Amino acid sequence: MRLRFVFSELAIGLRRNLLMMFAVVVIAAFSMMFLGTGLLMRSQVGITKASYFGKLQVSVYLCPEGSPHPNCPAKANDAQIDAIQTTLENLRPLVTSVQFVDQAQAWQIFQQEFKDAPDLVKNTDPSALPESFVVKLSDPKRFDAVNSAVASMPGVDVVQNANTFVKKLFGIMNSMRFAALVACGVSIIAAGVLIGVAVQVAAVSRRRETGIMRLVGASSLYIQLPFLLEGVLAGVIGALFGFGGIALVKTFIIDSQLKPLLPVLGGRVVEWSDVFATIPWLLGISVLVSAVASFVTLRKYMRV
Amino acid sequence: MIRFDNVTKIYPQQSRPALDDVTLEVEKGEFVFLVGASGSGKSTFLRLVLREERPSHGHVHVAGKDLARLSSWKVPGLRRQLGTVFQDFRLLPNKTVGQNVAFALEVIGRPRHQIAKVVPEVLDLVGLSDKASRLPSELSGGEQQRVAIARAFVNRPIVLLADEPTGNLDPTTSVGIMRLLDRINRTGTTVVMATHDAQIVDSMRRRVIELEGGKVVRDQSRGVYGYSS
Repeated sequence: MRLRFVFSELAIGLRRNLLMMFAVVVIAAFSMMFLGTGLLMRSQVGITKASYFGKLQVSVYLCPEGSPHPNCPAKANDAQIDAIQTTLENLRPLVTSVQFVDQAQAWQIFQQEFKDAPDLVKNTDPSALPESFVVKLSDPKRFDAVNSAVASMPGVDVVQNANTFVKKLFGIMNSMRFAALVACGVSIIAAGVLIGVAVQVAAVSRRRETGIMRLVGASSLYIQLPFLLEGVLAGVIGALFGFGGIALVKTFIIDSQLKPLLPVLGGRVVEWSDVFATIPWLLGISVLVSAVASFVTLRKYMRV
Repeated sequence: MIRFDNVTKIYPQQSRPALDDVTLEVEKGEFVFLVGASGSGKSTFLRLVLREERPSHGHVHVAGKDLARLSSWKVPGLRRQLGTVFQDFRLLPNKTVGQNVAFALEVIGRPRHQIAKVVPEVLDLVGLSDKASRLPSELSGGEQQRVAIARAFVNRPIVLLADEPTGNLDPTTSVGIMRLLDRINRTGTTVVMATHDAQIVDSMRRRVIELEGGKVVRDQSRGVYGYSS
């Protein structure tokens, strides 16, 4: 195999087919950018999830004095509280910790949480705050198990899941990631088709050469390799530009626009290491797609 | 060298066979003219030898191989043993004479030093050693066909197939081309030439196979183009 020959044929092909290659590079760059964005969103969901995971807890509020709730004819008494605690403890290992928060502690937490709203603190009667159990779960998704176990027990006012907000957040993030991957899928298909067409054009414009090659007994690999490489090279250049696009997304969107959302996202956004981690994916998928598209086209349009 | 056993070729969507139950054998070192009107099956015969087409029935043997049993990845190996020349030369217009000949060796992966050695030799054989760096457009038709023959012969094929090689050339130039093919034949290369050119066939007095409607209607050693009493 004489690589020098293959590469000189490749160079001739690229020169002749420059505009087509430009189009291929542009569409490949966009599809790879969508792919990379999708991958980064996946990483971000992972980061956010991990940061929320330890913090997720379930609050079991006990009946306070004068609750309108039908389950609460009176303030929860000690026997009821003990029964609730036992029930929660029996849920181990799903339940990892059970902590009783009495009114004094609840008042402290309340003051802490609303220290920016002194009027509210001033107007709140500490005895109106309910006692509660703060329950941590080994698997925050299994909130229902806790809820069904204790919700209807006497003395339980309401079981609250801090998860609801996080679920919404993940819902939004997941649908954004899905949108990016759909955009990526569509543009990868477009890129594949375009690469196929470009390779076909290249093959037709060099029919004379390939006809002679066939006749003098060049192997099909030798005949097709320059065209295959042409398609793959365009895909790889597209992937590199796509990575450039992702770097721009990281610099101008993630690192600046998303700054105010930092606490919500879990205190940390995707790092440059996550951005660089997309490179093998972009290159791998663009090489795969362009090689397959070129190969299929050559099989179809070039007789050997 | 070339053997056809009851070969019939019917192209798709055509009712009449292009070759109809042809059985013949070409020995090593023979010079054979394939004559007949357009559409008589001459080109199909050559395409079957090159395995550009497969027979609908029957078997084609070339250089001891049954082409029906030859797997497609071995076809390039077969074609390296065959040289082919066409009426329209099929040279690459943007490569020089030398590059056109070298191309045939480059694409089968021959080393550079070997190419550098054999290309001048073969150009010398066809009488074009002084025109190696010219472009095909700067040459006459006869010279272009010599380049094509050089390219077909540079890999020392055991069979040279020529499809109307003098079809675009004037009679004087054609004689030169025939002398060249004759010289190649004398090196032991089997030559199969399809032609319309009665004058050439008559003057060479070699084996003539005449096809008509896909059938062999005449197979004469030392024959002439048409029937003569």
